Amino acid sequence: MGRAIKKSILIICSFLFLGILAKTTATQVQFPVQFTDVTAQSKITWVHDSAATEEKYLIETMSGGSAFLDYDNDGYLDIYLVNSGETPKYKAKKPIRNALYRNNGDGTFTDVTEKAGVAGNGKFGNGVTVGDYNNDGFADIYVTAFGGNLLYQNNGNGTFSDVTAKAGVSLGLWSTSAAFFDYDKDGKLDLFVCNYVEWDYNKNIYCGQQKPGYRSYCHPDSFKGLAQTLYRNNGDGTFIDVSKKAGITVELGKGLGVVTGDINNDGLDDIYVANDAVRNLLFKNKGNGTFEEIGLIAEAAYGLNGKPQSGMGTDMGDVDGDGWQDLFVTNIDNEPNNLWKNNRDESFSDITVPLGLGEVALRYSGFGTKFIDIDNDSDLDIFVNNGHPLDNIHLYRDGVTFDETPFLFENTGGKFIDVTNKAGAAMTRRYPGRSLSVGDFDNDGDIDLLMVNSNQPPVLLRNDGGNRNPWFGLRLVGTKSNRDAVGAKVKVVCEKGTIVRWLNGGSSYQSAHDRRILIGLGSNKIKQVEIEWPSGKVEKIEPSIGKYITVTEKN
Amino acid sequence: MKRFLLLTTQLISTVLIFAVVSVSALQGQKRRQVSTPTVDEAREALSVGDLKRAEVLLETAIASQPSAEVCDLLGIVRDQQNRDKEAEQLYLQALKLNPGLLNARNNLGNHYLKTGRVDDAVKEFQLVLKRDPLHAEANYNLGLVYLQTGAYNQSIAHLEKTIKSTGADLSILLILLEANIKAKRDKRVSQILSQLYSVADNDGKLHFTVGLTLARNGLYEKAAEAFRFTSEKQPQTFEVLYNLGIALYNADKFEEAEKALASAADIKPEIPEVHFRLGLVFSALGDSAGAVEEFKHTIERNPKHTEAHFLMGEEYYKRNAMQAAYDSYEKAVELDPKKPLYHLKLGNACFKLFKYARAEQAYRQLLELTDPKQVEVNYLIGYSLRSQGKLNEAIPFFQKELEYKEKHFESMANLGYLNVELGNFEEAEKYLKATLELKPTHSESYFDLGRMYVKQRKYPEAIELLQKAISFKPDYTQAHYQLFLSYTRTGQKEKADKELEIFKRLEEEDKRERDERERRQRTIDNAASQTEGKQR
Repeated sequence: MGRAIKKSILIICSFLFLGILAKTTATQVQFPVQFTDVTAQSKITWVHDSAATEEKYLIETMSGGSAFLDYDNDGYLDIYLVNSGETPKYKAKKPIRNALYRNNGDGTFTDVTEKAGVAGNGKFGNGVTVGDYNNDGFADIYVTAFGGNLLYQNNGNGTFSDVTAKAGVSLGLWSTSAAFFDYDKDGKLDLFVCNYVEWDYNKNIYCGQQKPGYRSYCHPDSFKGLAQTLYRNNGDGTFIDVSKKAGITVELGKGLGVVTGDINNDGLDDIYVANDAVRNLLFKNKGNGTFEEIGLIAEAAYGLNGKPQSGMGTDMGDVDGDGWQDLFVTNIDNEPNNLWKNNRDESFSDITVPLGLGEVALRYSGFGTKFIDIDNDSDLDIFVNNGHPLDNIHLYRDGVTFDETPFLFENTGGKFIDVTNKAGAAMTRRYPGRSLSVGDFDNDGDIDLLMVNSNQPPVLLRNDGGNRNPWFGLRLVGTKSNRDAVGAKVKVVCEKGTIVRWLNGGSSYQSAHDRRILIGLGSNKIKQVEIEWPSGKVEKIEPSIGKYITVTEKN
Repeated sequence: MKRFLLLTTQLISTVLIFAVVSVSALQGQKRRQVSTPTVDEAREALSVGDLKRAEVLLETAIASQPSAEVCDLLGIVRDQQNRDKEAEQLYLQALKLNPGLLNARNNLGNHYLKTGRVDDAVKEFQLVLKRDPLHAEANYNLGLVYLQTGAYNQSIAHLEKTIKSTGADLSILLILLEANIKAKRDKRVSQILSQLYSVADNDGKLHFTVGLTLARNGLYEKAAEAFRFTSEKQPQTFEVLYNLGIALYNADKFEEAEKALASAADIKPEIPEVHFRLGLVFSALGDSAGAVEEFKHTIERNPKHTEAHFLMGEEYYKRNAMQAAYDSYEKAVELDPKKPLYHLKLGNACFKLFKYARAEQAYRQLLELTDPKQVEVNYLIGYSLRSQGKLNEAIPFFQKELEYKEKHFESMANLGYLNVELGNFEEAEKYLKATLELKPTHSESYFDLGRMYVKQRKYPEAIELLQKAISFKPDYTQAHYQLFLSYTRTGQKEKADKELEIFKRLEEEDKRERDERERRQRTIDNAASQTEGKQR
């Protein structure tokens, strides 16, 4: 009897043990990709300064830009960071400056700002875009700012020259995001610039409740919007403002995000602008130097409730693998982000809710965002850098905070699953997020992330594990096409389907990205890889799995 | 609120009646004295409240010569000592020794009343009256019992008999007044009042007591007259002015009530309740700021005054000062989490502040406290979930609401809307068509159906439904937009252009309206210090 009891106790214990084991295993399941915060070890010491004051100048909360670029063509991605500037009410203890960090190739970076001459000239900086506008083989930098933008031309020797005045691209407004792209297919990168609102220090008003600590940044409704700007590259180091002629000024906007790319597969790059509190704009490239604004008829102008939302960041890419580019826009809290599926007829359907992206974002304010294949499984996932524009939002909204965790949504084929909390400790921290740049800074075949957050150091997140799936990378060099090959399309025909990626312009929020195309293959077996160059030329290539290769457009 | 006060006064009246019963019992004892020296001494001791001496005397007497009278008196002592079992035994022993000792039976009846055995008490009083139909105490006691149990006519009959045998005692008249008020015998009420006032003459205190009786029974105007009389005799008396104010408030004479209560508050500003009543008066006068001020004074003096917090919330809510309303409701809920109304109002305020998660929580608490068949609480939870974008979670709540109320229109409409959003078009169509059967002019349902057909690219069907939506609501901005899409995609350019033009005009108007609404809200929210711009 005694033995029988002992035996049954043992059996019960073993079941319990198994139960505990099973539970422990379940809670410890992690996403195969972990993001590691390597900012400290990278030796990046620059800190964003929001220049915040009790005046609550609206510019204070919108600043913060970043870029991955290879300015010295050594094959490693360098980093450019955009800071704010002094204001009539804010005098910094240390000079506020932008920063260029050279990638040493060993996981560390060196601050080369002074030598390069790209500190920002004391402008109140917002964002950045990068492109080889003069086709000399070196990445040039365009900095958007309040009161005048900057164009730094890369001299090819580690230094840059401020050619803003000569190029005629200063603008003098409040510019935010920008994109280099070749809208007229002349082989030279043109420039699209988002402009926000008519604002000046002397137009600042008091917003929010008049109690200590309650003064808030004003809603953009308090200020008039601005037309967006399109510069055509003259090819002689100068640009000409063709906004009106090209049909860009038909609608005023409050532009914060822009992405250029082909939404109707006609080989021409279109423009999508995420506006803050007014409807978003979709400019269809008519191929004759002009654009038609089709946001309304394309159903990509409003949110689900048919009202304008507070668009901030945006991207374009083929999330459902049908060979057509879909759209994503991040919005402020209380508004879901928007994922618009391309209906292949110049219209879009909002599939945010059915795909599981609706309610998850309602307490968050998204800024920088990108479609990226984070785990190289061949489909596009979504990353969002979240952070509320109001530093005292907790006083006004239940459960909403200035600092927020980012989002990582894994594309599972039918739905997006929030895997943020499973992708490493750095992903569970809260940031007042602004820009987001993506690129493979350690050349290990997976996409790393760079975030600039308001009034904080940047965060460099290394992707660990994303390269477990096979991949290949392409660095495209245009000859007839623009040298950066912006607008190129890569088709990877596999046994089970086709993966299509585009080299779009702009995207995210005030950010620029790795110009290389990294294609994750998952379990796909490649049959053929084809490049459709911006010039229209189609070329088949042989990729090298697990490597980046440079492909130059054949004449 | 009036109802709440009435309930409270009813409760007070119950307590008072029982208090009177006990006193009357003793008074009854006093009236029928049996004269022996020991008994006399014991009775004397009882009348001065010297229970101990009465007890010693009666215990000595009972040991030497147990009589019915002695047992009866010792029963009273034991009653007062709350030695209930012994008291009952003594009364029963008295009745065994002398079944005709009516005082002992009356006291036994009183004892039964005291111990909650009302039916037994009535039997004993009736036995007394069988032997002596004019037995004053038994009539009086039965009058009180019947008043208490709502048998007003029987109560009046017994009280009238009491008066017949003892004369018009003031305390009996007051109770008779109450019984006649409750029996709605207005003529007799007036007679008793005249009788009382003639007895009272210039006695302000009696008028005050009459006033309380009248107020307790809802005769507020008459009560106010009585209190006013007292007030003239005893000016600057807090209790009088306070009760006068309440009576006037209940008689809907708010301005006079304000004066009376303000005077009361001047005399005893430290009393929270007087500020609370003033708050009620200001609220009734439409002076919301005044009401809030007084509720604040109430809370300063009694931070746990739940009703003051809640009603302050109500005032803020009326003025659309939602944040302040929300804070007040939260406090009320914290102090009294069992009141369903508090949760409901908190949820509603949360909605207006876009605090949907908190609204959901408040409604879920409401669900625990109320009958979901009576309150549309499942609908409210569903709507707060919908507002949080939790579309899939919202659906079962709307369905639950429909289980309780088969034709709950809003739940049907929401189920239609949600299923359109989720791409469940068959389900959506089922619900939207059902809403249109209930309300054939419901433009939103036509719109949702039309929108659904646009999503399905069934443009001719969409156009028909969207036109229908617009026929019932010509300024339906989004319907014009969907029509613009439908016409464009069916190549009807002219019609499309026209719809686009209307849409753009309406959109601009909507924006202006929204801005204006928000501007007004900001002004309200910052009544103390104006905000100049809209916060992000």
